[in-house]
Amino acid sequence: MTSLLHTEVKTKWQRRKKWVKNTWMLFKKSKVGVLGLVILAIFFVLALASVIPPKINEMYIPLYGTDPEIMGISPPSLRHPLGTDFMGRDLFSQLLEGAKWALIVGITAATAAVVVGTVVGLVSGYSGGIADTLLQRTADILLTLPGIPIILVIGAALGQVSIWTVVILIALLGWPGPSKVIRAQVLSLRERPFIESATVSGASSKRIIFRHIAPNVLPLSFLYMTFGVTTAILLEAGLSFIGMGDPSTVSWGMMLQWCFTSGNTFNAPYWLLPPGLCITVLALSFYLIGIGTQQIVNPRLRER
Amino acid sequence: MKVLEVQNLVMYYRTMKGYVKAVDNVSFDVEKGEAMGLVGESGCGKTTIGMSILGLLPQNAAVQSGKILFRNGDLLELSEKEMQHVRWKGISMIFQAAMNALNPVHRIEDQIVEAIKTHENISKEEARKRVAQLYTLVGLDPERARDYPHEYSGGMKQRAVIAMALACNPDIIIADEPTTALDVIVQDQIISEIKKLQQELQMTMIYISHDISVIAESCERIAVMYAGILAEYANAVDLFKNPMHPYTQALMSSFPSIKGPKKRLIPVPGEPPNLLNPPRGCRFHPRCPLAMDVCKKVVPEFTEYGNRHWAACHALG
Amino acid sequence: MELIRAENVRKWFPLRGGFLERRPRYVHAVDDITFAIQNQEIFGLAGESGCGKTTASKLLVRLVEPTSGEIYLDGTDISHLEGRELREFRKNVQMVFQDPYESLNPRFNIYDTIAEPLIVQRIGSPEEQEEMVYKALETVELRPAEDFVFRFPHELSGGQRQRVAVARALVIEPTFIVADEPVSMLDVSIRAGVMNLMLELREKFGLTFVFVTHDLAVSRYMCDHIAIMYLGKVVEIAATEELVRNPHHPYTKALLSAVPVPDPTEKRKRIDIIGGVSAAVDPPPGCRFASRCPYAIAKCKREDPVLKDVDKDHLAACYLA
Repeated sequence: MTSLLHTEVKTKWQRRKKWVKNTWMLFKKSKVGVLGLVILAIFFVLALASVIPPKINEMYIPLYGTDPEIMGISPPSLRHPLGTDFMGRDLFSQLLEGAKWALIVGITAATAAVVVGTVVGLVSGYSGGIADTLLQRTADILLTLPGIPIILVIGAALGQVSIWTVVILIALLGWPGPSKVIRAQVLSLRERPFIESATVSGASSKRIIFRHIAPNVLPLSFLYMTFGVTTAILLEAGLSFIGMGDPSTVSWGMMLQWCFTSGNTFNAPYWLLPPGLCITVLALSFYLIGIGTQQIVNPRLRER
Repeated sequence: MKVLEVQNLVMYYRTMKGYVKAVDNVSFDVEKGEAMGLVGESGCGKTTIGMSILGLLPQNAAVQSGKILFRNGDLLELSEKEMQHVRWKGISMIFQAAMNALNPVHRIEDQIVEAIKTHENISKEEARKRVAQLYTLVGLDPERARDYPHEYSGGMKQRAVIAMALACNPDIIIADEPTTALDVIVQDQIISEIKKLQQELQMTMIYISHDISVIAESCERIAVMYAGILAEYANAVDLFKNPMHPYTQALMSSFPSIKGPKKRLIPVPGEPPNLLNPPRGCRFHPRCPLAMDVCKKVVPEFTEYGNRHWAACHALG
Repeated sequence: MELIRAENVRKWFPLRGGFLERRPRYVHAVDDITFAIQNQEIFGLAGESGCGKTTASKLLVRLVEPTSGEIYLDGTDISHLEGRELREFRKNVQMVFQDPYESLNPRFNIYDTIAEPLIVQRIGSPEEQEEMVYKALETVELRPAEDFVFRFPHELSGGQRQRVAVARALVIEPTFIVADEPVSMLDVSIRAGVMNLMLELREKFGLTFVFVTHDLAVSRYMCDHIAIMYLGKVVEIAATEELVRNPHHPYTKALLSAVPVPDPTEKRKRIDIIGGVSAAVDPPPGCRFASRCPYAIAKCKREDPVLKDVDKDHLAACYLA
């Protein structure tokens, strides 16, 4: 019998393809999920497009490119599809830049939070004992802290806040939630016979946690990541709006802040509405994707 | 006198993957005062038949054709309201894992009284008295009727559920795996309790189980089901002495017994079929040692071979 | 020749009380059991739920550690092994679980499932491992093996899954296999196949089996010796036919008389005993069965009887046996 290992690799690819296809088939069944995905795709395109305006014309640099002919705020026109802000900067390129940052901040912060939360949940749930107690008490403390005031205090203490500080802070406050859910899942998986079987085979705790339990828990992690992105986007927007964001980054929240502090809230709907709507719609799109994923993750659908 | 007649029942379930043809042209009669056993492996359709009789099928189940005759009417034609009259008073059921059929937040007596009062117009006092009588009948202490379900052991809960099934003096009781979740000794007590009651009250029983030993001890007539079809239906003694259908024969040599000589078990080759796409012709033919060409194309007729011994097999001529 | 010996093994699980409970209470899952298993025999642990047979099986594979007492494998005390020694021990022992749906990792394909013990125990190069996996699949009659290796558990039937579980247990060539109710959740017509497979494996590879079940008919078919357990204690041990024909302990007699027989003409003589099994929490002194035993005398409620010889190769724990 010849070695079929190379055949196994080939089939591994085929298997992966089949898995992707099957998952997509299942996901497609959820209309809201597909809707969320479509919206996300649009924003993705917008984010990618954010590099174009600055390359075309210096006037369109979101942060400091001003229109030499227009010195203040102006409504939408052919030159500026969404108008300009109080400094004469093009609002449309700001919106595209905002899309870029929303996606970066949202996905990075949520991923960081979920990765930490998952690892903590895995270790906490499987080990039990002192490690579990310490980690969970830490998580409890972080959960009971009021999110925004804490960030304000830390921001004030640090003096200046960069966009990455915001990302780290969101991740820091975000990991306890997923960790509790993952831990609960691990506690129930830990007792299942296939884990006992791995123990009887001689597998170490580390191997059991990362090779046996983790794959069963990852779909849930992914689900929490999608919900986490929603939270992260909204949190960043909120922070920027109240002035705690990074003033050197153009995000939708910053746009809203500039609009508000320059006193143009009620007289420039073309400035106020687009970023506001974008925040809501993008956050919603991830949430819808999460709902679409739920029915894949839900073990009730698994065939017995 | 025939109390129940199932005629050419065909039933299916709608699932995400297609139609599961769960019951295919099943017919049998039950005489008054008889204990009839419906035996088969998981997925053979025995529970489905029990549910069909009581109209308790889930949303995605549908009866394609056939009749279930009870008290000169077709149960399948009745409206939900009319079925409610039949349930409990005409036909009652002891469910699988019956201990979960008891509501944990109500006293047991209250639950039985409620069942009685829903179907009969008698006073609460009368109903309570009947509960006490039922308790004595099933071997429970009537003083404990006011307890909650969690205060009872598994065997006691089972007896309480049997009492509830008897509460309205039904014509037929359907017992669906009533002892599966119980330990050996308690199971034995419950089985003999049921048998005693059945004989004392001259009740008609349909006993559904996958355990042939339990059915052999409790039932006078046994129907063997396989993958949605009725393979054989005979008196218990005849079935064991002279099994006619190849599946029944195979089944007889595939389970061990605590008594008698120790013989080598012969497994039935292959797997039970997927009912989404059952085999054409006789559903057992892929696993049957006697399979002929006709078995692959034509569904065998359910025929009587004398002395109320029925079977569906081409090899029987 | 003796392969495994359990001596006065106890496993007590503490019940967590509230702050106000001064003295902790214990569930006496396994309470002072002693038995010996011969090389290449199939040894049955039988009893009703709560009797401790599953805990005993977990003790034998060291999924749990005994609270007291010793377990010897081939003369070595394995009761408190740790670390590398424990891993070495695990090469000799494997387990087959009851639930074919739960004992396979749903995210592993069949190859990964069966290869896992080899990988964990670092046996063989990847090519050798591949051969061993295929051989294991052939041995459990899942042919052709190529068809099965890349499938996932949910694509297989219950019987096939259980065979995979057996293949996984076999692949590192252990000395003995503990099977905990391996056929209870399978259909009747499938059980015979899996049971016969295990009998063949014993013949072909000289394996020793410990077969845990509540179904005495299955126990009778499979086992050479049967130990009957009740509330954490072993009440009787004998060669199978001897036990079935000539039980000594009142509980064994009641248990055997309660097993239904697939013969409508058989008139069973049931032995009536009262009540159900009580919980094994801090049991009172004396024989565990005394409160239900129709023959109990005063001594039974004071002192716990120990296993003693009542016949050739037949032990029972009863003052009246």
